[in-house]
Amino acid sequence: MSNAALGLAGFVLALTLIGLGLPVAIAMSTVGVIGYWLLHGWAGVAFSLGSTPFESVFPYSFSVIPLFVLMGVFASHAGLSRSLFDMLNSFFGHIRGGLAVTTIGASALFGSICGSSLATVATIGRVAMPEMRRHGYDDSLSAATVAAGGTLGVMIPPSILLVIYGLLTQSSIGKLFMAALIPGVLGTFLYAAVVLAQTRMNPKVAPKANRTPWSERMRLLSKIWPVILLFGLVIGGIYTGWFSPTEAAAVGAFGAFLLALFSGGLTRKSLKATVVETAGLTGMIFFILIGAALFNAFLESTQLPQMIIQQTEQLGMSRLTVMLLILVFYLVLGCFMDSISMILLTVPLIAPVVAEMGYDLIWFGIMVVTVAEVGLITPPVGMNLFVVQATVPGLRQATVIRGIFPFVVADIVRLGLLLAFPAIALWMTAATP
Amino acid sequence: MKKNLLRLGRAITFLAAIGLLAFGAASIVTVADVIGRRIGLPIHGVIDLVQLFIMAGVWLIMPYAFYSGAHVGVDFIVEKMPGRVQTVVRILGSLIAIVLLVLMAWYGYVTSQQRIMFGDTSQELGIPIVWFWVPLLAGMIGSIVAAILVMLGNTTPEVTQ
Repeated sequence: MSNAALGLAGFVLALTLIGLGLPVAIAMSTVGVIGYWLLHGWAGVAFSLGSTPFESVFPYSFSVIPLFVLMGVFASHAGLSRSLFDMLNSFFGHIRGGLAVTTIGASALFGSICGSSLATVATIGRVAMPEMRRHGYDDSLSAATVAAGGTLGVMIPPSILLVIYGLLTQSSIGKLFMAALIPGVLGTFLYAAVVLAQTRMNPKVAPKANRTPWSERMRLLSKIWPVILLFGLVIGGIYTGWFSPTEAAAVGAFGAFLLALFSGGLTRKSLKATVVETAGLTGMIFFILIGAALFNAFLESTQLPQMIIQQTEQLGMSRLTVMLLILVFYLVLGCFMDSISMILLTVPLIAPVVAEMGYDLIWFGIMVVTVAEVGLITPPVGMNLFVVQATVPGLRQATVIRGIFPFVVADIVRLGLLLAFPAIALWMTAATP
Repeated sequence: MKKNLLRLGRAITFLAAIGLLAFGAASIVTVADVIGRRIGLPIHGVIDLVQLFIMAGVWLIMPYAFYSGAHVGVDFIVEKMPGRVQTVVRILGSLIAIVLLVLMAWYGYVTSQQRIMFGDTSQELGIPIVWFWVPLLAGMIGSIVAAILVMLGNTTPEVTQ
């Protein structure tokens, strides 16, 4: 068996073990260790096992991960979701479907201070679902709106997924954040358009609410300054070069802590929840990083990425065809795997192919994260679907899934636009340090 | 026996809280440096300090990630299998995780001894490398304990809810 064939067999074995229910990090580590052993003997594996857990955490640039996680967790305990929702509701609530549009907007704004999709769904869902139900909104539309809106938390910077992609491909995290801004806003508008189109076709799913006076709108608008301040500080700081993205994570975590503290959100109970949420998510991400490092060391030894590049060139397929195949592969994989694992498992294999074809890796990062977003709302393992279900007792999974399809179509439209006009993502990156 | 297991669980949660404090320290020291740079008072060795705090934080919270079953997997195929097969798959997964962690801990210890012997230190402040390895090895041992507890069926209330 050639080395490349061994690499391919290893990739298939890792997917099989993951499919059999082995945690992703363990499956990747196991295949990586066995594969490296076959190629380099036990001495090579021993060195790798001894150094990888250290080298996967030690680099300074990796500090961005726990600190952005911490920022998101504190932000979700700062009680800002209610202020965001009320403010947007005062502007859009009187339109048919306005509460659902409000939910999308609140998710996007909350995503600007929280880099996690699940935290966005859970936080906004707790506020938005009862409101939409109280106003007689259809459960399917409401739940799907919350689930889809949550994906904006991954795209609108700061985003943990973009950070992981940037670290994997050694791309500038600052440029990735800037590149994600317009696609994130585009996603927000497309989702809002989906809601409005649905309510126009079937007005019963979303009754109208009363109009809010302008004085009340202004009062509510003045209450969301902490969100604007924190987002402006983190993204503005990176954009102006005041601090690096790594430092921005620390500034964001500190700022979110202060917001939570002064909003009275830091109770004994919420502090315990902060430990639980930060420890679970950070530990999970870093152990997958260790697994990915072991797995990728094996894959690189097999020269599998180079073999894929050669084969792609020999097949004579156009750049566009290859990219479409990659996107379809990600869309299918996203239905079965969580986004972080999917990126860590596949990007080291696919990014060299994409770069060799002449695509910009910053642009590809936005594409990958957009596809990963779709995976968050597609059954059977779309995590957002489960989280929104958990926010409403008695809500059936089938009800959530029934409403999600139009949002998936909106995401595919966005992917098509990004593919046709890469400048949507790239023009903001030109001035980023 | 059950009391001891409960104590171990509490110890793992306590370690996670210390880890979170380490992240907080990394955040504070960076913010102080960012502000300090603007007024001509940067913090010397901030990168070394952040690396140390993050290393300590990540490894002290790692046992909790194992204890709470935070490591993601694809469950929907296994869930369709008979109960006995599910149990076998889960025990097998735990066993593989424990073997991997034991190997990482042992070879990590060997590597740490080599680095200490060579007198490795951090770049700016000259912090002995052993300070970085201690939380790693402690977290690794804690993770082994947590993985064993999970295999024995002891998970946190947050997970079993």
